[in-house]
Amino acid sequence: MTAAIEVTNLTKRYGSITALDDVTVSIQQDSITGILGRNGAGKTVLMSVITAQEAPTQGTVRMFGQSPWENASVLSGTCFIRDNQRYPDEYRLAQLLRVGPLFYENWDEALAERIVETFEIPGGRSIRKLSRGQLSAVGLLMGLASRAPITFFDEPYLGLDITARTLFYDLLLEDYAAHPRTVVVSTHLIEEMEQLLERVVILHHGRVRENADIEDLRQRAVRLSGRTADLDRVVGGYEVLRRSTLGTLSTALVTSTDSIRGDAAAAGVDVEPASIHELVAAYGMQTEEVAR
Amino acid sequence: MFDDGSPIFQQLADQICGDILRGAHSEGEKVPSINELAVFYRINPATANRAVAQLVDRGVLVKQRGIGMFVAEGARQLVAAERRAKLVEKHIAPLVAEATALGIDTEGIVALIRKESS
Amino acid sequence: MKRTEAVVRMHFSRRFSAFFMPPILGVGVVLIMVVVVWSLGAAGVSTSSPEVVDGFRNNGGIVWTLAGFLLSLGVQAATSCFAFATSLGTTRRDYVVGTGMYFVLQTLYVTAILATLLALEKVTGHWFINAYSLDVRALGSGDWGAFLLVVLSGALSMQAVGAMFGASWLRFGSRGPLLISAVLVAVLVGAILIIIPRWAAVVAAFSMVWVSLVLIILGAVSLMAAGAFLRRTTVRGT
Repeated sequence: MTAAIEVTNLTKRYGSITALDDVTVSIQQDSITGILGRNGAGKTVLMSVITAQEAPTQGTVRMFGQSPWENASVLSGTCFIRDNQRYPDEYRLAQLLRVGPLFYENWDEALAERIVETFEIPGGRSIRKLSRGQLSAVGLLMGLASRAPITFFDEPYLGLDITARTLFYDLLLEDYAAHPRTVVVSTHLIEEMEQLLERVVILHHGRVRENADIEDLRQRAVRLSGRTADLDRVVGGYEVLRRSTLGTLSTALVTSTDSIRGDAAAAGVDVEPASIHELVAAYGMQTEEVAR
Repeated sequence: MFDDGSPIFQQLADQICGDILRGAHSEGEKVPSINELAVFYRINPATANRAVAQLVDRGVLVKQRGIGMFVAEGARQLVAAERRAKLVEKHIAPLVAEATALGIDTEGIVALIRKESS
Repeated sequence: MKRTEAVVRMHFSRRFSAFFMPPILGVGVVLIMVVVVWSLGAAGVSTSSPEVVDGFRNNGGIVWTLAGFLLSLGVQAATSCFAFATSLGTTRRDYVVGTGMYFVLQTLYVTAILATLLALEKVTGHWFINAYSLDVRALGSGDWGAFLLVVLSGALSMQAVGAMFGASWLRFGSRGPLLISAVLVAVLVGAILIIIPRWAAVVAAFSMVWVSLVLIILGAVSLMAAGAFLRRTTVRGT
């Protein structure tokens, strides 16, 4: 597997606020990578710095081995529509459909038309006057129809109902399967999207908590449950991400290792696989001090 | 549909084996491509690819370059044998454990099984 | 397609502003002038006496209308279009070069519209009632050479100045345009201080060539400033 994007020791500060803190991640070529984390974890800033929309404070970004900063040969293969993307004044759907192929040699007009119909994007109104869901659909249209070798989606589902989101997942998978490319998508909807992902980056307070294969991450943690006293005997040797107690019963989310099942069985504690959703939520609850 | 905590590719492989066992795919028949599986089950193509690769390794599917993926001759027997081996681990052992916790003895379990299958 | 060319066409896709506004504004100014002159005539004012015609020719309606419009076009080129072009993977350099090319083409189009109106104005004896709209002092009093010089250089520089203001706002927020305004005022005061003692010489040497030279320098400096601001600016959403 080759890396399409390599980010090394990247830090981004705005005055006294550190948005990204020594971030090192690599994004595999032709994979779908999810960027997960709470609001303000640095997901959008990371994509923004990768696409040279802003300069890093420290650290480097490499795209196919080259710096993307003012580098048309790699930048022209990217598409990054923000959740609050600005469009030119006066622009309507027709202008977007006309401009798309000027910027992307692989622009798929038929796919663009299909997305317009699927999501019922109105053509008569200026882009600025569209609803939140319609605006998201426009972002999906640009991202998918561009067929850009590296496409970023920034929480692309805002304002879309479950039916529209499902249609998006289907379109993304179908088009990605037919035209493999590097897709990076930031999302909160972990349970809905995890099956689409191959790789996952989890950010918390601007730092990378995970950068792993999704299957590895699904096995990363387990949920232990049993009597508090029994649980106490097990968790000692493990990293506890989150713990809660109800009377004499307790549950704990712990980082999984080979020995956990044996130890738990010996203590009479139940072991269940923990979802990525639980893992992300647990990371998100850690205070800044613990995260460091 | 994939939610039992084991790897998704494993669950997909089990699903395909189940289909073969039920006769949904007969031996020698072409099975859906990786991309078709990915779109149908709404999973990443890399995941579908791992499931198929595993089935090819196990001799359940055979790959014919440029044509597609087919159910191997003898695949049904193979799957049945594998499942039989797992029957104890996956179903009988938990059943016995649960019955013991409820105070049902072996005779009681057998009686319950007879009643269920009649 | 090259990104610079794509940027040019991205700007021209704003068809209403790019194609329809210039003729609407040009014809609008002419119509207003016609109505004004006709009203004066109806009110019994002689509209053909040399003093009155001289007054008409001093009106700068066309200049202020077009200058305002082209400034706003420049501001928008730097703000809303920049964010979108970069989202589609365009480098800042390509964006600035493409936008500069667009300004040149837009200038040629505006000039063609105004030249057509001027030709019509001359042929029709100033719209039949001495409604001097384009054959005015500020545009060279109907002299084609002076007219082309000042319209070309003026249209180009107004867009570039607009782009500079827009880019400074993107880069520095509200402080940007304020700072530029302060610099412009300082330059203007400096120029006046230099010119005043030499007023007679300046008047004697006055020609549209000098005016357009100043405008071209202003435009070039503005475009370079816009490029410098956009070089490090952070792209944001709405």
